Amino acid sequence: MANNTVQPLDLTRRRCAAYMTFAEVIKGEVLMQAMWMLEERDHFADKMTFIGFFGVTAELLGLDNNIITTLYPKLNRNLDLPEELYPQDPMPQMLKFRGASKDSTGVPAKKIRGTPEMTVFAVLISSIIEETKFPNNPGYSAFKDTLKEELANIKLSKDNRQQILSWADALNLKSFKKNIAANELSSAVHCIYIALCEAFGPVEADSILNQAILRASKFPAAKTFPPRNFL
Amino acid sequence: MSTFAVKHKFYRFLFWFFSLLMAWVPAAHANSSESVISSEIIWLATSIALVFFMQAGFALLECGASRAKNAINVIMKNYTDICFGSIFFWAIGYGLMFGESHAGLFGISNFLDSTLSNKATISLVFQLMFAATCATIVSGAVAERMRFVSYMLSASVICTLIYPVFGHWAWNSSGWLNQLGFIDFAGATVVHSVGGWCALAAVMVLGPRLGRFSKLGETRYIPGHNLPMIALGGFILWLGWFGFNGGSIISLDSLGIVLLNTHLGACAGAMGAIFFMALTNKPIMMTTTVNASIGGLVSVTAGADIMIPGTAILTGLISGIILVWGTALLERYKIDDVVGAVAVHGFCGVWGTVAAGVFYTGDMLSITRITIQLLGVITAFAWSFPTAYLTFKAVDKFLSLRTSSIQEQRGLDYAEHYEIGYAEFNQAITHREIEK
Repeated sequence: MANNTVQPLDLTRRRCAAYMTFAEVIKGEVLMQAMWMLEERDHFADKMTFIGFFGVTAELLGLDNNIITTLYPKLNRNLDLPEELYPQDPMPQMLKFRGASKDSTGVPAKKIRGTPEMTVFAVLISSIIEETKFPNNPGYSAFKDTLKEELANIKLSKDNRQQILSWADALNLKSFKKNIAANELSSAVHCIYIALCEAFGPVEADSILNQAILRASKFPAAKTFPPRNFL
Repeated sequence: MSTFAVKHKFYRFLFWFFSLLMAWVPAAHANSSESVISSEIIWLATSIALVFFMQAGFALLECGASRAKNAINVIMKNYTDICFGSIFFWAIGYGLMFGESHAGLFGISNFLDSTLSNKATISLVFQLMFAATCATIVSGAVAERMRFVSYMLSASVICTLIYPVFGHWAWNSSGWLNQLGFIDFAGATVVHSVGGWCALAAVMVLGPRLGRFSKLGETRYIPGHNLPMIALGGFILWLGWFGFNGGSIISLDSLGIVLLNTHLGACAGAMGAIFFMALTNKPIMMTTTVNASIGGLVSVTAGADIMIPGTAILTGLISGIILVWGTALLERYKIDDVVGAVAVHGFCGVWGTVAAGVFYTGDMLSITRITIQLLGVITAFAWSFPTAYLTFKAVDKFLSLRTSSIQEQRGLDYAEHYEIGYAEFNQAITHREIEK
């Protein structure tokens, strides 16, 4: 059996193929956001896994299912194109966008200029939002209510509690104006876990948290502060 | 008081208890005149091994039904409840159960007994296995959220007090239920229902696992991490049951019918559940089928010696239905029983004990006999449930019965034992590294 289906894709190839495919239906900032969302997915993903990431990203962007269905074969074809047919690597554009962007909920944590634990926390909660599709998920209100209750029961300074509650209301990383200490962030992660359990059940909650931890582990700040320290 | 201080006190108490115990025990007097080893003794000793092996069955079934992050904790509870339970039962429980009766209520002799004849000692060991079985039923129901120390203490109370007192009433020749004519051949009520009611009390005091039932009333299914392990556990329990029921015979003459009824009861239990699930348009689940065969085994345990194969099958079939219905009933009341222990051991035990009265060969459908059987099962509940409930409440007050929610998040393997069941999988990612 051919083993090419389980080999990790070349990062430039996957970036170019995704750019070509997405550019047919989205433009500008949304396209850049989509490219970053894909870029931060597993760098060792094989072709099939990457196509899966592509689908999830398209869904998160709110693309119509009928459109997404038409994109799959195109991406599949584009991933196998000879190199000379690819456009220029979109990475410089992506970097430019990230530098200019003021707010990017889908692109986690770039705006948090703070301690490594704060950055990792921001990545973690952004990933949770991506996984849960908040606020469009029906479990969002249960999540928010439980989080409020749980936050009221833990040792947390008033300011920090307010920061986290504001984040839960707006789902915007801008809610964090100040850095929060690692132990308080750890308590907050536990409260988020309990709220996820209430909203989705413990199995989903474990899975969402695991995915978020995996994703956060790949960020440079995770080398200084591993995300599993929150658990 | 800190958790460490409470733990420390508990272990110190255990140390002194066993030190005093060692000082008290007189030297064993083996009865050397009893040189002839009969076939009955050999069969009883074999049955001990089979019933002991049931602990492995329980461990696998319960472990498979739990999430991977709690696998070690479940195994530990199963492994150690037999250690604690056996010693406490030998020291106190056996005397309470089979000692000289005080007004038919409890035994007052044979404590710390080491002077029994060879045959009686083998019988004692057989009874030790039964006591441990009764206690281990609880561990499956409370999996994934009960503290290890609290569980060990509660299991010790079950083996020392709750199980032996009811056992005295039903199985001691002077016990008041026994005097009335209550029959429970190998312990459908004495072992299984009592264990099931203790499990019910435990899960009621503990509450459900995090997120099992939402505040809006939604029930979330939490699948076990290894379903084939559940099936293997079921097979081992089935095998062990040949010793559980087979070892309870008075004479080898009835061994054949007891083994046949035991096997048919298990088969019918599974069939009953499959038919019921199919008729009610429910998915035919492997976990339910395994539980139903165990429910069938529990139900024929009360009357395996006095039923004919046809009635044993009928008993098993009905127990399969009761199992499916009982599991759904508990869920409706938001009772989180991880392995379905209450339905399997409690409900099926009740049905089996009543069925032993209904299908008593030569005296079928005797109202008097059925009434006595009903009295027996009601008494079992009236004694074991409140006693266990108070025990768990007391343990909760002094030691805390439930783990904290952060420990539940991390998994009890890491939180309670600093060992990870499957280190190469998710736990390595989701838990902090264990500090050496």
